[in-house]
Amino acid sequence: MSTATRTVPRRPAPDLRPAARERRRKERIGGALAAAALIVILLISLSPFLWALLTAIKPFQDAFTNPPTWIFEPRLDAFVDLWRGTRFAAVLVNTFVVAVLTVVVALAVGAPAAYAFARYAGVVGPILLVLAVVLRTIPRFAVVLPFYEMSQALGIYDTNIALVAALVAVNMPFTLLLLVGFFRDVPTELDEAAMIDGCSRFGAFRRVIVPLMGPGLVTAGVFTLLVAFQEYLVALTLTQNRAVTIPVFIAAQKGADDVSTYQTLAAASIALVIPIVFIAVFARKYLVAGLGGGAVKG
Amino acid sequence: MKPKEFAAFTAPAIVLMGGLLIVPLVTTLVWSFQNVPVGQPGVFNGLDNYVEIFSDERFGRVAAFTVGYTLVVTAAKLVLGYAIALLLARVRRGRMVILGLLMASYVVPTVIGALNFSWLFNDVFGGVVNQLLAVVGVHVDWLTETGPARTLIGLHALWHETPFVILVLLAGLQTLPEEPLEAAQLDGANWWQRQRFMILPLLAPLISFVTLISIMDSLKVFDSIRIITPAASSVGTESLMAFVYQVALAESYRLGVASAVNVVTIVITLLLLIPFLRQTWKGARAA
Repeated sequence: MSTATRTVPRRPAPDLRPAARERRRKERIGGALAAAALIVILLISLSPFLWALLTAIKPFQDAFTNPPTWIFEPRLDAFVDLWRGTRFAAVLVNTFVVAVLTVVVALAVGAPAAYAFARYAGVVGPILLVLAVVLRTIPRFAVVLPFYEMSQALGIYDTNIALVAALVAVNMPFTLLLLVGFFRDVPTELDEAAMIDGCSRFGAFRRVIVPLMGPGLVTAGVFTLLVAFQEYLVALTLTQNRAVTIPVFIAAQKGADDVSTYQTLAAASIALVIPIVFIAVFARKYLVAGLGGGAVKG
Repeated sequence: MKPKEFAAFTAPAIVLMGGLLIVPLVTTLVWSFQNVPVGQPGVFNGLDNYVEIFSDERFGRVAAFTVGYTLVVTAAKLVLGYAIALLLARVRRGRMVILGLLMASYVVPTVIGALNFSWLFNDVFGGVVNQLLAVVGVHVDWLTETGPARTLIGLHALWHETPFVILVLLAGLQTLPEEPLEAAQLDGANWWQRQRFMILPLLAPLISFVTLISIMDSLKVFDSIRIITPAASSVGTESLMAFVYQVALAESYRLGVASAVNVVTIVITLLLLIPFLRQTWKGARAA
């Protein structure tokens, strides 16, 4: 869209104002073309969800025709089936329990450590940080297969405890990296001032730094929550029935490969996509801060 | 901060990572030299597992597919992500709303996203993409033929992961200094020249960051392959991690062989990571 800007030779105009006006006009046109292109991209990007929504609300005889049926009477039977006829509700509750526990444990363990990494001048901090990066890159199966054996041996296979432990461990390097970035932004003078006023190091951390770290902790929390909610591989390996989470449930339903369950599957997708997209749009500030923080400081 | 305080603050995290990350990783390393049937202690068998996987044709196919997938997807993601970030940077009103909605395919659980994405290519679900292709008289068996299935897995990766690239590069574009760029424009530098000689060099650290993240993640691709092509081995879309799963928990229960594949994957990943680790080390030392 900047073709026009590029090819017009820039004449030395005696009066700059028309040139400036011309440039602004071109910028506006460029902006409008960019917006149009983005709307097309956005539609393509959202089309899988729109199609799942259509599949969920079509009557059964219209849902799987080829070519697709476009005129139909929308109904919510699939959502009712999903809620009443499957374990969806129970699995959803369990997934939230697992995700929230993971966030709480990850932040309780990760925040003090990240603070120390950000403040300690020695060489240990950088070494651990590099280790954290390395650990973040390890294939999860390399951690989870031994976990599988251990949890069988300890009799905690297919429990939330085993799942939360694995999720906290696997994500701890990333949680640390993210939090260290935020703690570095809090000026050291604040800790020092608090300690001069009589706080212990831990008191300074708890009373002064943690309250200031609100956005950073929320960012790390939102991230860990999303990751725990999304995790498929770890949950697939460590659960079977009782501790199953949403991604495992969905994949198992899909694996049944039975057309009569496809609409409930579509309904389940939509029931999950809508709240997650809302969270993404509203918590966008935190997501951007987190991804950006990880990008710049990682 | 005193060493004692440092130790106290970091102890819980170090114990946790030691017990729940390092111990399992060491176990994986030990298992890779053992014959380990599930539920039984392993017996050392030297390099047998490595010899087996390196002489296994299937492993060769799996490794080649995974590396090819990683290179193609990473390159395509960077180009597409950069293009969309440039578009977003030109838009004033509604930029953040568009960005938020574009993130949808990134934040939705991969299992659900892959499922919904593959439905567009599935004739049972109306075959939307094939309907569009019918205009040019083409019909593609996306889910069962090797070439199309690989393309589909790659397209899914682009759909799912490009938003992350967009997010990072847009953040970079927004922090570019405006004055030198305007000066270059007034001096007659055209769009290409400004991209090539000013913007791309300034964004280089971010580009290398997203490249490395993409390489690491792509080498470990698993969720989408399980969902889109459950019979990955016969379709030709089996990745390293899908192979590990089959060997360890589905087709056979050979944790030793699976661990050897994990170790090989770790070695490949670390080799690709060296420049990034050096950068992190320098950053941490400088701070």
